Amino acid sequence: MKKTITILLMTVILFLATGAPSCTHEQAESVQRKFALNTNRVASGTNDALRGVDQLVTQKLITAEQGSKAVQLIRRANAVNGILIDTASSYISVVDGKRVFVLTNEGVVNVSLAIDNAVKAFNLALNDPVINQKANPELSLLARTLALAVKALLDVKKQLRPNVLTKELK
Amino acid sequence: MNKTIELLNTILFLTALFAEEMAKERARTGLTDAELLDDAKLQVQANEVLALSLLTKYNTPPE
Repeated sequence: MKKTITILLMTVILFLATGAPSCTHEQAESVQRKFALNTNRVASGTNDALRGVDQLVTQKLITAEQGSKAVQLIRRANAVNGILIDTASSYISVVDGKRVFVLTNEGVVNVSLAIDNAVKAFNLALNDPVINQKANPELSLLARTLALAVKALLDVKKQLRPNVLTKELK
Repeated sequence: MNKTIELLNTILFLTALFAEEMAKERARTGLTDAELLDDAKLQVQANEVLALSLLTKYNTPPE
């Protein structure tokens, strides 16, 4: 019973930590802005997940082997997220002495493909038995941080269409 | 008793994480899109370093 309450509490905290901030002021933001924000949140969530795994190993809630497997999975997803960020960063240019992120139509296609790959990598990690909810509820709760950030990225991908951007850039 | 302390530690850790995430969110709003991507790139690099140090700590060679 105590464990159930604790897990429930942890879920609420994690929901607040990830879901609530990402919902604020997003209605008025451009798709590019949402993309930049969510990419940053995914990178930050990856760091939280890695530290969370270490916390669980330190407290012996999971074994070092389990922790190691979880870190390997998160590390792979982080590498693919790095490729997404590099792809997006190639569309940063200098306009009037300021660095601006402007996605061209070609950029939308390339970034969308990179988002697909990043989402696949994170889903592979999230669906792995090591992190899977049934196998390990504690790790699964931490993985939720990443899952919410990845979902936000997917939502942005749905809006990343050349015509939408053209309208925003006018 | 030990179990309760462990659970309390976990809750404290998550609460700290929550506070940290809120602070990060406030910092994000002050950055331009290009700066957000630059920052994300640095975070990815920091994550790689952290992952490698954890694997060393758990005595697992990186794949």
